[in-house]
Amino acid sequence: MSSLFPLNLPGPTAFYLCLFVATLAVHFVFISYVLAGTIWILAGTLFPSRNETSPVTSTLKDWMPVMLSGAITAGVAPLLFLQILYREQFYTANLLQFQRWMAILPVLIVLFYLLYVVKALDARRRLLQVMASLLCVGCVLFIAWSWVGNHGLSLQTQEQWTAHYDGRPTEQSGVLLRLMVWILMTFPALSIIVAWQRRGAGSSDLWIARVALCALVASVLPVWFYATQQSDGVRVALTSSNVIPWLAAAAIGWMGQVLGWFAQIRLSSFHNLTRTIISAGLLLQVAGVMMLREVIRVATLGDRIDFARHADAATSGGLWLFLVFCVVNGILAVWCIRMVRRNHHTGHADGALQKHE
Amino acid sequence: MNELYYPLNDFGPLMKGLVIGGLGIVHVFLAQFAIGGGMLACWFEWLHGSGRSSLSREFIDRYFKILVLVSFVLGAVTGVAMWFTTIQIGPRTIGLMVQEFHWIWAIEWTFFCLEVISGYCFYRCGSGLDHRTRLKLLITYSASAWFSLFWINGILAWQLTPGEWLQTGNVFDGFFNPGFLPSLIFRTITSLTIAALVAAVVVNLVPSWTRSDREEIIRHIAMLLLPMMAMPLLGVWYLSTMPSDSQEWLMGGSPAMMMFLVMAVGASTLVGCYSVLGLWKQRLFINGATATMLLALAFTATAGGEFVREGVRKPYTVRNVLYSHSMTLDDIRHLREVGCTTNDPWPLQDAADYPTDQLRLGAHVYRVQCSICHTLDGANALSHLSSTWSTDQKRLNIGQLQRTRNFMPPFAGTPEELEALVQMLEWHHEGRPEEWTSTGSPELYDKLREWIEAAPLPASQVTSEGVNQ
Repeated sequence: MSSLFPLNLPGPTAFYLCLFVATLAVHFVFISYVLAGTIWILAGTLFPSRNETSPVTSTLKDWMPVMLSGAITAGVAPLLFLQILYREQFYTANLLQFQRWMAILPVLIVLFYLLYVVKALDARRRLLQVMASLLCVGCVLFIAWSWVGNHGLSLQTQEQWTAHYDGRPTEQSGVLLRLMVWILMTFPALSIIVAWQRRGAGSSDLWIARVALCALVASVLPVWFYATQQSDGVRVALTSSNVIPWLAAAAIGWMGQVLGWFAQIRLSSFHNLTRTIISAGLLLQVAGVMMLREVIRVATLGDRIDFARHADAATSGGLWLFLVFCVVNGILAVWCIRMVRRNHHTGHADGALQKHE
Repeated sequence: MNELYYPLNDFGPLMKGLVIGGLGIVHVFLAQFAIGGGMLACWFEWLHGSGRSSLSREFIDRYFKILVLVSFVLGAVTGVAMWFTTIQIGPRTIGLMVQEFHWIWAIEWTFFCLEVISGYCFYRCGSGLDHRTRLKLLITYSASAWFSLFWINGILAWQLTPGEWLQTGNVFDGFFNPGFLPSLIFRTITSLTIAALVAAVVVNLVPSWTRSDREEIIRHIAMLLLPMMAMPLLGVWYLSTMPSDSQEWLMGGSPAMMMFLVMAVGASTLVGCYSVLGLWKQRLFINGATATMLLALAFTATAGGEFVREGVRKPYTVRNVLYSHSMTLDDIRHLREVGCTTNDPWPLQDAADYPTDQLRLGAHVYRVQCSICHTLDGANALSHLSSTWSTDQKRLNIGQLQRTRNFMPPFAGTPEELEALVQMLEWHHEGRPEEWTSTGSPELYDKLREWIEAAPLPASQVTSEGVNQ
C-alpha cells in the first residue's frame, strides 16, 4: 500500500509541506476570526434591532485588532515555507499580480486602524459604525480575493503566465468558488472560537451555533462545484488511496461539527463536551482540507515542483535550534498569558482576558 | 524553470532601489522603536518599583499605547511589505536568502510571536497588574523584541560580509559574520535612541502634567541616550569589517555613498550632542517641537545609514555570490555565450513602442540587466548617466562596466545584445524617433567581443547555491 500523502513525496518535500500545512492551519484560525468576524460585526451594525446589545459583537470588536495582529504574525511562518516549497510559482504569481498584490499592504494598514475605530466608536453613531464596518469587510474581502487569485495564478502554466504578462490574462476558473469555500469555512471556525472565548455566557449566544451550522451546510455546494471543475489528473489524485484518509478526515470533521452544533442548539446551552467535539471536528476538517489543497497543487504542478531544491534546503543548518526556540518561546508565551490571567485584579476597559467573563 | 528570469515589472520613474530603500527605512525605524521601546518601558517600570519616579507607571501606559498603535500596526505590516517588495525587485536574492537562512528566519518568527503576545498582554491588561508582573511582562517583551533584531541582523549583515560561509557554506558561519556584532550593538543603541526620542515627544503630549512632571521624566529619558557616545567607535568598528572596496566608496570613492554617510553621521552627531550635552549634562528641558525635530534627525540618520548599508553592497546583493542584477559569475560567463535574452520566456511588454527589432532587443537587455537599479528617464536614469558619451564610449563603457564603475556588475550578454542596448540608448537620446537604422556588422561584433573580454571577471568560486563543490 502506498504511503499517506505527503509521505509519498521525497522526505524533505514532505517535511516542509507538513510544516507549511501546520502553520497555515494556525494562520487560518486567526484569519477566520478576522474575516468572518468583520462580516459578523457589519451584520450586527446593519441590523441593530436583533443584536444591538449582543455581547458576541462586543467581544468581536474588542478582540479584532489583536486577532488581525495574530493573523499577520501567524502568516509569516507559512509564507516562509511556501517560499521553500513553491518558490518560482509564488514569486511569479506575486510579480504578475503586481499592483493588486502590493495593494494588500496599504489595505492591511487601513483595515488595522479601521478595526480600532470600530472598537472605539460609540454605538449611537450608527452611520459611522456602518461605514467603518463596511470598509473593514471590503478590505478583508479584497485581501482574501487577492490571496485566492495569487494561489490560482501560481498554478497556471508558463504559457498562461506569459500571456498574462503580455496583457492577455487567462480567465482563472474557480476563484470565486474557492473564495466562497474559504469564507464559508471561516464562520464555523469563528463560532467555535467565540464559543470558547465566551464560555461563561448563557443561551443568548446560541445564534452563533445557527450561523455555524448554516455555513457548514452551505459550504457543500461550492465544494462540490469546485471539485467538478478539477482536471481528470487532479480528480484521480484526489481519489487515490494515499489521499482518501484526508478526504475522510475532512468529511468526518465536517460531520462532527454539524452534529456538535446541532446538539448545541437542541441543548439550548453551551457545554464543554460539545465544544470539544466541535473543535476536534474543525481540526480534522482543516487538516483534511489543507492537505487536499496541497494534493491539488502537487498534482497540478507535477514535475514543475523543484524537489532537488527542497532537498538542498533541508541541508541548511538551524532546524534543531528552531525546534528548541519554538518550544521555549511557546512555553514563555503560555506563561505570559497565565501570569496575566492570574494576576489581573482590576477590570480593564478593553475587556481584557477571559478571567472576568 | 530558469531562475534567472522572472516577469519583472516596470516601476516607471521610480528607481526600484529607492522603493525598497524607502520602505526599508520606515520599517527599520519602526522596528527599532519597538525594540528600544520595550527596554525603555522596562527601565521606567523599574524606576517605579524602586520608588525613583512616581509618574513613570502612568507614562509607560501612555507610551506603550502609542507603541502598539504605531509599531504593532505599521511595523508589522511594513515587515511583510519588505518581503513582498523584495520579491518584486529581486526575487532571486530573497529566494537565496530564504533557502540559506529559513531556519534562522523561523527562529526569529518564534521570538516575534512571543513579542506580539507579551506586548498585547501588557497593552490590554498592564494597568490592572502589579509591579512584578508588569516588569516580568515587559522584560519578556523587550528580550523577545531584541532577539528578533539579533536573528534578522545576522542575515542582513551576511549580505555584505558573508565571512567564512563563502568557504564552508555553513549557516552559522554566515550568520556570525564579521559585520554581525558591530551592527548588532550599533542597532541596539539606535533602538534605545529612537525610543527615548519618541518618549520625549510623548512626555509633551500629556496635557495634565506640569513642567516639573515632564522634567522628571525627561531626566530619566536622558539616561537612555548616553550609549550614543559609543556610536563613533562602533561606526569605525563596523566600517573596518567591510570589504576594502566598500570602505573606499564611503571614504570618497562614491560621492552618493559618501553623501549618505555624511548625512547619517551628521544627523547622529547633532542628536548625540544635544542628548548628551543638553539633556544629560545641562539637564535642559525639551519641548515637543524640539523633541520632534530630534526624532526627525534620528529618522534622517537611519535613512542615511540604511542607504549606506544597501549601497556599499554593490555590485552585489550577496557579496561574492549574487550580483545586483541577480546573476552569478557563472551566469555571466554563460550569458556572454548564449545571450541574456535568448531563453527569457517573458515577452517585452511595450514591444510595439520600438520601431526595429534591434531596439526591441536593446529594451529587453535593459529590462533583464539594468532595470533593477536604473530607469530610462526617472531616478538614476540610464539616459542621463550616458548622455555625454559618444556611441563608441557607450559600447566600451557598458561592455567593460566593472571597469567603468567598480560598483557596477559586469555586462552579461553577447556583442549583439550590447550593440542593441547602445542603440536603444542612442534612440532614446534622439527623442525616440519613428524610424531608426539598425547597426551591426561582423567586424563591429568582433570588436565588441574583444572589448567585453578585455575586462577580466573575478575568479570567484561561489555560486548562488552556496559554495562550489
